[in-house]
Amino acid sequence: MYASLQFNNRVLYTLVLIGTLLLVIIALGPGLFSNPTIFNTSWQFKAFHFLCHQDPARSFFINNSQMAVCARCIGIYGAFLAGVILMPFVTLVKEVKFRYYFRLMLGTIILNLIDVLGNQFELWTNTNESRLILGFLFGMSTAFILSNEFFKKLNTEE
Amino acid sequence: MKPSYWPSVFISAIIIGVIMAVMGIGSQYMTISNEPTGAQFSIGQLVGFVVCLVAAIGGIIATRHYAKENDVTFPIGTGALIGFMTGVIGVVISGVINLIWTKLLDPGLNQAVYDWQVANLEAQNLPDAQMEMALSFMPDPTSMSTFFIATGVSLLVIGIVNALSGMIGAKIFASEE
Repeated sequence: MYASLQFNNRVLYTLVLIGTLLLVIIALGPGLFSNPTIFNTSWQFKAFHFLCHQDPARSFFINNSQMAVCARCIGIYGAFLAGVILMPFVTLVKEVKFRYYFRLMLGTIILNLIDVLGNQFELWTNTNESRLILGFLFGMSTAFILSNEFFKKLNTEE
Repeated sequence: MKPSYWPSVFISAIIIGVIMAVMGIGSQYMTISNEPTGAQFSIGQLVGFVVCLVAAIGGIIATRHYAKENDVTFPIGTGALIGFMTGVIGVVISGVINLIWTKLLDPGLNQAVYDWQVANLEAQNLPDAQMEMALSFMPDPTSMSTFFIATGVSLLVIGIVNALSGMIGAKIFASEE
């Protein structure tokens, strides 16, 4: 017996993939194009102004230019894109029910909240790397919530 | 026939549009009310800490409202469309409020923010060449093209993010599973 995949909602999947790729490219900021800029004046910064605090101390830099979003947010967008790309492979390995993915997503939201609050109340000091990892977990689990809508595992007799 | 989703789209768009406009205008006043110290991160951006990602939840609010008010299920494609329209209309509402505020109610606000940013750059004691380059990157605050570029990129990014949140909202609140 071997497994194959049924691919549904192809147009929507392609749109999600292109849209998310576009978000990641913009979120990486002007440094991606080796375009030096001063903080908060490029169009990439304006695009994410309402979605992220864009604090330089909590952001990564490319080519000496700050990314347009913070470390946690680039983790979220990057992982969402990775999740969309990995969806067929993950479904092929193990098809998981929506409710389990939903619980996983809630768990990662709680983890991020604990991290933010712990840092705020000075219980610990988080780093850009820890923010990136926690953002990554949230983004990946959010993408997987949609995986059953696009891919279904079929078991085929040889 | 399924009921129209437009009431849900407009309600959610008004919510996020007003929040974005208040955040945007409020952060400008917070910025100019402080002395420019040369710091890259202004006090106005602290607003972002409180309402980070607020502009992304329009899709979730709209799909939840549509599903619960009408007791319907719908596919994630419809959720994406509802979310996208919510994001786009929300940005337009925010832009109109911003335009009314900065052109009619307080016409000097954009110029005051620009002057503050220039003073903030001067406080960094940059070399002349670097200062000149930095100023060349700063858009003319009174130009309408600056306003339309900012609104255009926000339409794209907030539209996409809300389309994604609309799909997730549809999956959570309106799925037949």
